[in-house]
Amino acid sequence: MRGRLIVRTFGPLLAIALGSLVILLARGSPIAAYGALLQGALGSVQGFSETLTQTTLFIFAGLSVALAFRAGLFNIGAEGQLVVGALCAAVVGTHVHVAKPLEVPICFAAGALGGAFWGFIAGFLRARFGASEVITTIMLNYIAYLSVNYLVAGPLRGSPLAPETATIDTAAMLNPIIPGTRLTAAFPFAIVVAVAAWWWLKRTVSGFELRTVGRSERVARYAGMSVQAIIVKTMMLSGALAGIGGACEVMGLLHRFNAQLSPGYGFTSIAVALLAQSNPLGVIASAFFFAVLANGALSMQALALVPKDLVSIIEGLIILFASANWMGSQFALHRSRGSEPANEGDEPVAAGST
Amino acid sequence: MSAALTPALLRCQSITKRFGSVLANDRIDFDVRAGEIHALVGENGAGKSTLMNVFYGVLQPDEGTMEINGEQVRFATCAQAMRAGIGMVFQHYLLVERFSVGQNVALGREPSARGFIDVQAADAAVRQIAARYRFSIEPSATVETLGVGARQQVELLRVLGRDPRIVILDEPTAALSPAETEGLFEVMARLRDDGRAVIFITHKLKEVMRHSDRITVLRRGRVVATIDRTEADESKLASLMIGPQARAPQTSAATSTAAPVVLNISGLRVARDDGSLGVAGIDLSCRAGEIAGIAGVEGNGQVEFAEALYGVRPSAGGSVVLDGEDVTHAALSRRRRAGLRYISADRQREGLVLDFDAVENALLGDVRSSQHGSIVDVALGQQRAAEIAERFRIEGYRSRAPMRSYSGGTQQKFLVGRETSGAPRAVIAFAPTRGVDVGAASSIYERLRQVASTGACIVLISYDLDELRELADRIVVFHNGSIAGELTPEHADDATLGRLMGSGAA
Amino acid sequence: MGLSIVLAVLAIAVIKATPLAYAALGGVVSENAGVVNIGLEGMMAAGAFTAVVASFYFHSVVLAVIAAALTGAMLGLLLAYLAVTQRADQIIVGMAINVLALGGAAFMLSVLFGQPGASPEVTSFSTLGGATATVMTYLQRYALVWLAIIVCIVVHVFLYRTPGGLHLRAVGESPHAALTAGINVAKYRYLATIVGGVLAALGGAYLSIGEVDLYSDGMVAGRGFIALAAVIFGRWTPLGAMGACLFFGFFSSLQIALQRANVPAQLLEMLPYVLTIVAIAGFIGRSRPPAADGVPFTP
Repeated sequence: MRGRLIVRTFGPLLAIALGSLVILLARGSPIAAYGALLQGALGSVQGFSETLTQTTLFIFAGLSVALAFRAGLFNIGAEGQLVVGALCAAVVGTHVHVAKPLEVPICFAAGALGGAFWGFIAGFLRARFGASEVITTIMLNYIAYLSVNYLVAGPLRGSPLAPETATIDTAAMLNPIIPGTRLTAAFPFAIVVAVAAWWWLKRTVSGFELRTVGRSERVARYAGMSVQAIIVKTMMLSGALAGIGGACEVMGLLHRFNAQLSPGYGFTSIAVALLAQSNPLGVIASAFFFAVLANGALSMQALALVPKDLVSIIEGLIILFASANWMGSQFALHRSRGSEPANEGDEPVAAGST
Repeated sequence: MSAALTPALLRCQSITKRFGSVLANDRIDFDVRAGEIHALVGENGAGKSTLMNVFYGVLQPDEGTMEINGEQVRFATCAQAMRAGIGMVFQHYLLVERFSVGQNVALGREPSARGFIDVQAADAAVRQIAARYRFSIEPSATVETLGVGARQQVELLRVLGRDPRIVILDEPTAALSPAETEGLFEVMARLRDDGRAVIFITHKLKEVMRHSDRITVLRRGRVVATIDRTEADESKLASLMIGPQARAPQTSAATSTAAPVVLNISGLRVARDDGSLGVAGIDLSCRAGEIAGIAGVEGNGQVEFAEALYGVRPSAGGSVVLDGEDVTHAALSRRRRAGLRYISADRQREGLVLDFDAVENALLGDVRSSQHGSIVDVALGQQRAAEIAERFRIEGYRSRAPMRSYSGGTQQKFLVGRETSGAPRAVIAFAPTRGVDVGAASSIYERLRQVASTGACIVLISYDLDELRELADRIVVFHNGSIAGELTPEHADDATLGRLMGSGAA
Repeated sequence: MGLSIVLAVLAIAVIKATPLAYAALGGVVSENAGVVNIGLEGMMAAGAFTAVVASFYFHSVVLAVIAAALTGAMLGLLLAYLAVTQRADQIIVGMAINVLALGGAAFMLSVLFGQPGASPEVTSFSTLGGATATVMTYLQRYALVWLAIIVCIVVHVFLYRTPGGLHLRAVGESPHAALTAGINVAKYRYLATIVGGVLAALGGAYLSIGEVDLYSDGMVAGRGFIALAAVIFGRWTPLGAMGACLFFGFFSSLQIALQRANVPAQLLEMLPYVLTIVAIAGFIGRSRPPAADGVPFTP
């Protein structure tokens, strides 16, 4: 246990240290830069609430990737699933009118279903044809953006001024829980979902099956589990989580769907999951860490004059350090139909811990 | 025999190689002379392939020395071994499927003209060597289209093309037809007559007696004897391989023929991965309380049989009936529910998840039959794991420690314990004590007997003849996917078994 | 009139295909040796950025191209070291390279040029050859395009006609067979990955100083992933990948031409991605990568 903790903190610390080096090379001051970053992310009610708002999205996207990792699947498509889920939530929020207390739940459900559908495509292709989910999810990301952009500029357009949907019903909106900020009930909801995901993995039969498949598809087969079905269900669940995250964005922040929704956090969700070693509880802390980075970056740029992209560099370094899996590769770009991962019996890099 | 006066071409002394705690080669002295065919025999796991891999530079010995023609050598790579004149034909052919025969043979020493591969020269070279050894092989054919015999020819060409002084063949006849085998031995004889040194590893004592000049027997990593063929016979070799005569087998409680049939296999046919028939019509009836043993050299259909029986591999014909229920096409989970269990020969890849703890491993295979619906029945897992720990007297058992932290023997005990819990009806035990120490093995035997006495039946597939004699009520011998014969343990001495296993005929 | 439009569309197709082709050829080389490179996108960005920086300081396109190639080689070396020697997860390493390169370029953009988002304009291929349009002009201006064609042919000949190419492919198909034939598996994997990096970076250089004359954030726009798609679509062969790039380039060009018509641009843009999924699911014949692709080699 302690060993794991050391590994988890070592990567980020080294990345931050190397980031200081980069700042120095750019003739900045690391102390001033990191100071401004922390000040911006944590130093005021406004800032802190923004950080928590950002954390919400990262939790959902991170859970999506982490859960897939635990099953031995590499879901790079969280962003596409998020976007599809968000659009579905927006459409339901604008066009479906039910009793007030039901509006929010059905929008969430729409987001989950949209994301689940998008995840299903990749899962099905993998289970049925052995098509690597690494490639298909990347492709599906682009297909998602393009489809969605087309739809909101055309058939689903709800505003004459911009390519976006109409504003969702007020009843479907999530309201700030701290007045004057953008922080909504989505944040505690995200925490609840993360804890639920942790419990689900640990205690339910389906979670057990998912974890077994993640460790060894072969052992799972010999234990009578239906590996293909588990793969499809996992991708759907993964997509649903990302979709709910997208729904939160729509319902809590933008109150509509437009292209501004996802400013490219796709890679960050992977970083969040890797840093958390795919543990859902760890995802909460990891999401917070990256939210601090993302949110504080603008302050860092404004106050310490260090470009905000430093944060991307730190993120990349963390992913790099997470790749050093000393015992072998778990994710294969190319697999044969429904069979075992490329290298059996080794410690999977992201299959994580309970 | 002039060979007796020829100095050794290749000699090794005190070669020792460890893999973790396993001593694969234990102070081995070995030599082979020019113009000699030297057979290396031993059971599975005796260390034969390891030694050859050391010779070929694939592995480096922990201790010991090697000499070629009196000069000390040390090979860190295959390239070095090849330059010293050693060629090796591996048991599992190392060919690039997508390449042609010509490309495979030339790989690493392609004839080239101005930087480009001279395909014609390469093909001509292939034809030349092929003609010499009377292979009929087309250089432009792609390897993946070739059958096993032809592939071995390509592998041989690959090696012979470099004109090696020393040729090593690892289980060369394992997958060949009788005719192909004859052809191969003709090749080996020509190699010997050319003045090369030939080492071949085999199980098949008949071949050894017909074709070798000298024989070295390995047992558990050590050289037991090196003798001239003239001083040997099959029984002597078999007993050297296997060890001091096993004590009189404990006769299990005689099963009366009135006991009901639990597992009825009839006409079972199973295809191998490459499409050829691995199991060609097996009939086997197991009664309640019976342990049916299956003996056979590796690769004679046991794996396909076990996989099809358990449900991991589809069968191509025949039927499997368990307790009156036809499970021939049933899914694995269905068979488990009906009481079928499987103790795997490969616990790490098929039986246990090493990163899970004992409780979760105890639930593998059963997790859906939890009483609590969709919640994992942790209490049941703990109970089961604790029972197993107690039954097998596992020291230092901690329910939350990952399986990885226990020794191999303990892991195996655990696997056996799990697969025999929950009142199974038929247990397939495939090499259940492979890689396990004597103490763990005997507690596993005890457990299997216990299970049989509850009215279940056990299908015991093993490569360990002692084990079969000790446990089984009867021993069936597999050869080329069919049953070559059936013996009772008292009559299953090594020579008889060896003959059935090696050639399918008593 | 109709003919000139067709020619224009084809010409633009070739231009659009060029950066893809470099990256795809880089992918083909490394994957044929068994190393998967998801980081093509990042390597393109790195090449694009470095080319602009070098051109800014040295006012020479040749030096700019060399600088880009060196950057690509370094990133390729990083991938090779982690994938081959450390046996790290190749996909995660590739992702890391993407994030690092894209972020690093954006960072340095601000640091070096002070203006976020885009660099100033620099010397580029598009201004070469003087004002009058002669053959020399076209040769110079599109030098990288001609070079791409040459590279494609060279890679093809190397892979399928030379001993080195046979060794490289053997390493990717069956590293154990290669090892026992005396081939140094690690050496080939390192070289192939480094070459892959160089080529991808050259593709990026074309984007920044070939087509235009600056670097802007996000200019790679997913081309690295389309290149990956082209590798699969082209069945891991250089000619196939080149063909796929031309195919994708054609649709890109078509999309520009049809902008005036009411065809939604997004539908055409989607085509490469949809086709790749179709290819990888095996609907267009069997999709067979080199057998040991992506698997770290343990002798």
